[in-house]
Amino acid sequence: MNVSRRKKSIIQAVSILSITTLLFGCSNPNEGADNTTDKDTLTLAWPRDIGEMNPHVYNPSQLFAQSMVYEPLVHYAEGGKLEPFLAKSWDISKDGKTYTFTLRDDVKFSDGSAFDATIVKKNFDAVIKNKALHSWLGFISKIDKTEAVDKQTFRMTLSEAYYPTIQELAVVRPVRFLGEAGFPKNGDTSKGVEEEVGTGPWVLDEYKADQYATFKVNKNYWGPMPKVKKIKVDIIPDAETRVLAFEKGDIDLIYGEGAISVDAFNQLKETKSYKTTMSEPVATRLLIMNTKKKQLADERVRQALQYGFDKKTLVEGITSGLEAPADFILPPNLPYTSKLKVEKRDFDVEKAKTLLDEAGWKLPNGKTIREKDGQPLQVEMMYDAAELFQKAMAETLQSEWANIGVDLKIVGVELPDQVQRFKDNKFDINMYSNFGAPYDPHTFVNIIGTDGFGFKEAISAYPNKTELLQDMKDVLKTTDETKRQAMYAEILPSLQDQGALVPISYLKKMAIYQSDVTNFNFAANRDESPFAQIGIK
Amino acid sequence: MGVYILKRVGSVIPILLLAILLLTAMIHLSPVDPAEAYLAAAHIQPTEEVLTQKRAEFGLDQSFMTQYATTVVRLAQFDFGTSFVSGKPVLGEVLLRLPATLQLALSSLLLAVIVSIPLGFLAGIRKNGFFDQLSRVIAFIGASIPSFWLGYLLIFFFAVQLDLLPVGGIGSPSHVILPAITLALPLIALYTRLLRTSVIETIREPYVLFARTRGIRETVILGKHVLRVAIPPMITGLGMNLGKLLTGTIIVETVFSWPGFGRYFIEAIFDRDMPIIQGYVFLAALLFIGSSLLVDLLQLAIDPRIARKGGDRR
Amino acid sequence: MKPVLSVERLTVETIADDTPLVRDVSFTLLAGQIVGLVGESGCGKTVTSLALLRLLDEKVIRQSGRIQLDETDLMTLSDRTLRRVRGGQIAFIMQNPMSAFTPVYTIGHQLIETIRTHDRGSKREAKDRALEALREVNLEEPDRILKAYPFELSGGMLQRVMIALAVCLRPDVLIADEPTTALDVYNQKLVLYYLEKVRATYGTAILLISHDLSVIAEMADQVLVMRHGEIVERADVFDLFDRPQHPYTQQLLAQQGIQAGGMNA
Repeated sequence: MNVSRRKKSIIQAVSILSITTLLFGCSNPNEGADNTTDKDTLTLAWPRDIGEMNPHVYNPSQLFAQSMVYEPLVHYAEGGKLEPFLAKSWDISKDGKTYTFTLRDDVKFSDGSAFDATIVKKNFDAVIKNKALHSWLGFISKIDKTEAVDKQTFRMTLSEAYYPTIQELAVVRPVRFLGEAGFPKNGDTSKGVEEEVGTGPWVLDEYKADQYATFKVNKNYWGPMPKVKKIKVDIIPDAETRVLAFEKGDIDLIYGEGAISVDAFNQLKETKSYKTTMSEPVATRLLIMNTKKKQLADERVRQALQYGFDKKTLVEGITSGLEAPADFILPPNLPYTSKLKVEKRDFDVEKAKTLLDEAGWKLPNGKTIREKDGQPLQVEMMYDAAELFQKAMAETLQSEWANIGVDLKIVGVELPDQVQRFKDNKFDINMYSNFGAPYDPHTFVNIIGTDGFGFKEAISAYPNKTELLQDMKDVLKTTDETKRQAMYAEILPSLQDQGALVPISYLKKMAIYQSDVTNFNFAANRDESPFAQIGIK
Repeated sequence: MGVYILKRVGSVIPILLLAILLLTAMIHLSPVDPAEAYLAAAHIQPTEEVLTQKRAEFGLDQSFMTQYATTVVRLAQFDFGTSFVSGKPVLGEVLLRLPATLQLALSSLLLAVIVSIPLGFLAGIRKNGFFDQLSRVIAFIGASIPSFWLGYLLIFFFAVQLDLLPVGGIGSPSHVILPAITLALPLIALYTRLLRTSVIETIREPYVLFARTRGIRETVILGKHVLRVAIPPMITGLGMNLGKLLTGTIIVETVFSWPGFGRYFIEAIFDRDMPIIQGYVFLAALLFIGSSLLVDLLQLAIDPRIARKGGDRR
Repeated sequence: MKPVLSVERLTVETIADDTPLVRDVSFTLLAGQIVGLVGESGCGKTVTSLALLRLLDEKVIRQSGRIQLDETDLMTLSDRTLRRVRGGQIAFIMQNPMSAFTPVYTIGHQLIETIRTHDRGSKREAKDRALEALREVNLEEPDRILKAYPFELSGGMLQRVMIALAVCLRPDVLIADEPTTALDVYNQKLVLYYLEKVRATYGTAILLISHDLSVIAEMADQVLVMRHGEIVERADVFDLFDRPQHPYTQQLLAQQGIQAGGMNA
């Protein structure tokens, strides 16, 4: 019968499908998945796939992973100190344009090949090929010439003096070093590498896209050997699931910005079965006021807003101690940012009210919002809707400023949207956080001074704007340490005191890990991995 | 038969064109373009230089119509472009992750069918009996509980507290269990009630009575005659709700760290990775046609009236 | 002659509110006899016929009385035993042939299924019996009919198939519930012809239910007139049509345009 034959073949098809389904399930035994953590492997969870291990590319490669395999010439350490790393010393010419590095002679890549000036030059040249993409890192677009003077000496000449060069060499990408075997024939690493050969303590071992990646120790490592034999990264995209996996014991550690919700962190902390570590401040969360807007053009109003909220209570209340109240627009542990003198503007409601009155914003009878020339004192604050604390902070500011007669409207937007609006100067107040270590203070200052980022327009009402902008350009060209320090000591407080940039809190990184994990230390460079000497008891 | 299939595939082309049009329009209208999204995610300051380069790379510097036309032409040649984020061909990225999603989807479907048929059947033959009450409870839970919540609950009990199953990931049959249950529950809720209603209606039909007058055993009447007639509406419902399965995988894959295409799609949305998003839409359309075709073929096999007549069912 | 089927004081009530559907119905069926049960739709004819087979939902209705089939009171039998009676000893022919068979199985499948439910035997044997039964009602190409689905056959053919099926198990009683109502005149005649043939060939007693008096007049030996679940008149067919006693009977005859006393042999 025609139908029953068709019926038979359909049933066959369905059975084959079902069996394939089940077989599929058995065909890739993931030994990692139910691996109970043993003493030699550290397992952590990460929300996204680690991406390609290529030192010269950006997303989707994850910073922490890249930093495990590839190393810099210079290391950014605590307090903003720049230490020798793959380069054991360097010399800067008097005009600030020529940098000569003496490389270590005991460094080998993970495949045994030598680390020397030739390969350093090759890496630099690969990066320069894509100048436009890397133009965000100041010194790259200024590179004129690269030279491998001899095996241990590498020289780089810039088109103009740019002091942040050394500091910028410390960042995780793109200026880190790939071994010869990793380069494609045409030397262009932007499309991919042949092999993931780096000088770092770890080598990529296994990799299953979207599932997990394991790193094993680099036998040829020149520095102190890691204490664990393997690091496994489980890719767990959901925050709650990460917590569950941690509670079960599948993973040893959760760390990373936004990796775990504050509630979850505190809950786990309270059980006292785990250990936690907070880092030093890595960046500042600040408010940026658009002085182009009428209400905010008056410095008295800006100051009043600062006096008008209780910073300490806000930060401690909302972040439960995970962030600290900030007195400076850049954390004082960055280069040139300590020992700055700024005006203290602590919580003082009366002072705020007085300032607003002086500025002509008076409270009409029976009304709660101040007015001037018939206009209400209305301001709009935009924040990143997905970010942990921003919404709560915006809401708190809304109620606190309502007390001094300011109507604050808050709007949550997606990060790219926020960046765009900032650039287009379509905002009143923006919640911002700077890059922090190891990018600042020079990147911050650079951005403020450059068109099209939103800052330059935001500070347009500063009376000393022109001078300030010029100073910010000049400080990057200084060759004299002392002069540089003095300039920063003027620029940063001036930016802060005039009230368009208001520091709120210092961001810190947090980590929670099983009690048998030892020696967890955050790196001073916020993008680097904390696995240097990590161990499991 | 071949002509029929071709016709069905052909009918979806105008829909696809429209979908691509809407997608292209959405990029254009969105305040954030993919180039900025990429840079924001990479923590790169969007200087004009970088932006221009990235935009050119992504083809965003062209006019709307040019973009649309280019996309359509590309897709017609089955060139799905390259991901904005990874730079790799979209087809490759999709094929890498698709098997996992299919495995999950099929397992859930299988589970849903295996549970729904007996449950719906038993619920229908004895109204207000135990199975009917059970099906009502399941329907309520399945319709009201959000899948991510159910997922967390299952992980918490079975993976963490009881340590019976893994928290997530893929690999062994035990990895499929919890995600498949989570994905299957809303389906079970729906199909069970569908079958139940169908069974109740079928039992009232004259031929059921006639079978009884012929002395045929009640179990045979119910199991053979009633079930056979009552199932097709459930299968139609199955076909129409395959969309639920597709969208469900997005959440379930994320919660269970299942390396499938649904989860990748969500990441692509946050990254504004347009080629991947377009690829997903295309794929979804294909899956929809494919599954509804399959369902129709199944109907053909089960209910001969469609094959021979193509008309009324009862 | 001992009756094949003897119904005594059959009463059917709803459990919920004791509404009587059939009240105190008694009648007998002799072998080879055709008893007509006539009345308007809804008077309880079908309920009665289903009650005889105990096919009413005993959770909803309450049934009492005696239904004596040969030596046994059907009211005392277990469901298992009753199943053997249904189809095997009492066969049923439904009103609407188009919806009598399960649409997703072939005629042959359902015929063979019925035969094998009652008689052990191979599929082959059952098939042969089915073929033979179909031939008995003069259905052409019985092989093709066995392979066909119910929706592929006409109402008249299906009705004949039902008759064939009903008879092939040689039951003692055949209940025909409005066997001609859904058919055109030509097929009506055919059905009645075959019913008569069954009676003549096998001596099957037939309970012929109809609201159509002309059918009753043509076929029945005895007639029972039912109204609101009660039998208001019972008589020999000739007597009923010549001299209807009960006013309701007279009303019925008048409604269907039949003159009392107009029965000529």
